Amino acid sequence: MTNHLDRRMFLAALAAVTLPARVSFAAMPTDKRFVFVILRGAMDGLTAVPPYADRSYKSARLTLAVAEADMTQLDGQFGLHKELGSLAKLYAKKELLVLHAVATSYRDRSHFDAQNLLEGGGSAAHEQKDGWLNRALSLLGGSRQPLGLAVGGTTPLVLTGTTPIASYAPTALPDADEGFLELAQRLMANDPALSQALVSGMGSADMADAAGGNMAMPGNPRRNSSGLAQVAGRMLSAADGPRLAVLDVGGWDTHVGQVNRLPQALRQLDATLAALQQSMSSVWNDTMVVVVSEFGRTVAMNGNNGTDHGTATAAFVMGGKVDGGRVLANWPGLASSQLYQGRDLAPTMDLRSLLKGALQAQYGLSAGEIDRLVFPGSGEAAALRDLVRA
Amino acid sequence: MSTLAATIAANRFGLGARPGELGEIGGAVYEWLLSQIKPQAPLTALENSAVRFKRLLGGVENMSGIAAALRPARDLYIKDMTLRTQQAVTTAAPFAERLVHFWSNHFAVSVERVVVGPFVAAYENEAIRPNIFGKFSDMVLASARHVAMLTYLDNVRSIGPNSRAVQRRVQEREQQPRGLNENYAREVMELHTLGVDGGYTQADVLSLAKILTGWSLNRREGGFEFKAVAHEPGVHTVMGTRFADNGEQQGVAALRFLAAHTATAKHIATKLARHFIADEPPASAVDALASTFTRSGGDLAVLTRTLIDLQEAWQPQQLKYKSPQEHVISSLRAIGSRTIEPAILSSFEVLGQRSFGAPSPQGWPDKQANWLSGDGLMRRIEWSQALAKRLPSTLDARRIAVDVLGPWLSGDTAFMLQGAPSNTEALALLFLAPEFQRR
Repeated sequence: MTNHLDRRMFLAALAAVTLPARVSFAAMPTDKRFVFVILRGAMDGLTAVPPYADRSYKSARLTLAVAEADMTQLDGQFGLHKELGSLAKLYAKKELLVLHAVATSYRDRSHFDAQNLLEGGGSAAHEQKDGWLNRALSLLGGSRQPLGLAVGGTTPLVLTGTTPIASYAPTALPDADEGFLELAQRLMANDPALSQALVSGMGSADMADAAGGNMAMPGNPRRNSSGLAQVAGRMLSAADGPRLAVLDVGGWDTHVGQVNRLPQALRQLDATLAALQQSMSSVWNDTMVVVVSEFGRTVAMNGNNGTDHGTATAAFVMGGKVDGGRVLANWPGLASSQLYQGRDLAPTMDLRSLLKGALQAQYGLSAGEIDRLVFPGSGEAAALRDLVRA
Repeated sequence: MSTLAATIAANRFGLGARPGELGEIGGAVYEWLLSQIKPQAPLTALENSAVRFKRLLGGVENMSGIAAALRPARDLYIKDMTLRTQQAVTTAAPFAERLVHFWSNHFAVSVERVVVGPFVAAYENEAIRPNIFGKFSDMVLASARHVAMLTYLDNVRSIGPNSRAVQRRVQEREQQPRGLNENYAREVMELHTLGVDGGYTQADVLSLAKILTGWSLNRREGGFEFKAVAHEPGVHTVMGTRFADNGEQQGVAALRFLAAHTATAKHIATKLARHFIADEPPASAVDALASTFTRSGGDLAVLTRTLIDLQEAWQPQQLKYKSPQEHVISSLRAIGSRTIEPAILSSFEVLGQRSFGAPSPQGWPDKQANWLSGDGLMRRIEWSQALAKRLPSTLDARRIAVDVLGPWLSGDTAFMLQGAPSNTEALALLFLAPEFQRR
């Protein structure tokens, strides 16, 4: 019967295909870990890191002002909201650096354009078609296993580009049969984009299994970022695992009822960063975590006890070697004449300075490489120095 | 033998061929598409939003009351989405249905705001479906007035700072009268009409927010109500055009102005071309659509006819990678499903595209880079295998492949299906074939 013959031909054809290795690793080009946490939706930096010593803080913010009982005082000028308790502990251990009045070079108020610029890393939204972290990956040297890891579903722009990356999100689906994956690989062999995604997917599935990622994770993964952070942290800790990851933590677009909603988001962020720190404790001295939002929120309250889209906000850097325990800010002030366009915290530091400094500190990339390839046109934003202790 | 044109019509313009569909289209490809461009009525099986609002929330005032009233919301959502999926899987007018999905994603509302959940299906059914071949401006207005959008983007909470409602509260020394909320005004310009580069400023957002104060809900009866008492008085200027203070009509005029703007034409044309042609659509196609949009006064029937006349939309290469929703629906169509079990809805969630669950008002993205990832593909493989394992062995993957993919079916894929270890594997491979994952 022809069917039988066909099957033999088919198996012979299959055997001729070289399957990419799933478990063998070449030497890793770096041991340094970098996690980029994006707070999509615009975090209110004046609540997360209240500038309580600013004379205009209370009058500008009214009921939005954080009471001194509800914060950990950091340096006589700034506090940390009480929901950020794990961060306060890291600050005390000098492993958390807080930055304030930072912003990208974007000055309009679209979340989507601002995130595009934050992730693309150019000088205007939509100028770059791929992400700055992906471009940075291309400078780190070859590795058979993807060094970049997208956590939680779709691949964010910041990791998109020509360098292959891995991605991971929890799933309730049963694993595909091993034999079937080989068939699928053969089936997609003529479609380069599908083949590449499959190789990357098979690699990260193995890593996630090893990191305990198949444990049931109920609920909406967007709301369970601490669970995701824990699995991602374990994957990043593996000797032959990925080195750079991107995580999202949401819940920041507080147009309505900010006093009730923002503490929940801060608690979620604190739990997520704590889970990350804990799961990466074995490599914490090699780790840097950078936490940013696309922009801040209006200083004054809107008509619904909320705030609208603003400009500058706060950011965080943490890690075992981070030169923390301090707040880095060229504080612009909150008096109405000091606000950007009379409504927003004015930006005094370009976020790219932080990101460029982080890449230099962590991976030793040269300023020239960074300015040419990773953040083109960012000459005016000099890299921050001394982010890590010697 | 099916023609390439029929294959494109059913799989790129439609929602994926059902067995026999290519044969039914036959040589009358244009006719098949044109026959679907006709006025659409709301599906009668879905409960009307005002009726449901009154049933669930009528007269409810405080937060705990709302929480209690929304307890059955998840069951209602599942019931609604089962109907919606059933409609997509079984319809004989899948081109019109694809456009319903396209437009409801363009004017996205999301169950990420829990209170919106019971109204998302009704939103698509009442604000979008009847307007897909009507005037674009009517769709903008229907969306603006729908309970789902009014709630999702907070306009229901927006009150003019100088409105009578606020004046009265100030007199009564209420401490913090509610006020303006610019959320909807911004997104209607940025996402629904002009596009982010449409040339508007923060001042325009503010003006439009003022103009739209008072666009609210009748909380007893459900449904839209213009509340003059909350409306910000005065003439307001949006993008250089002054809108006279005539209550609700001020907002109608402003939204119609935005809907007819040339930036809107470009924005809509780009998104439509991206959906039907390529992630980065050719300028020729975008220009043709934009000029039709403007020339016809935003007539979506005329625009749709221009779309199917575009040579670029008929190129034989399959440039579009199906989103999870498209992939699930086309898989279920390919196997000739007639009834949808509610359990199948979890497919959308595990594949990363919960129905009406977009993470932001931008809606779901429409590019390969957003959907094709290692993890996303692994889940698509797992899902395809899980689905195939539940299917009867009487389904012949090889025949279905020929029947739904026509000339797109490659020799390599046919060979794989022929040689698969079992019919179950063959079906799963069909769902995963590059020519099935693309359109």
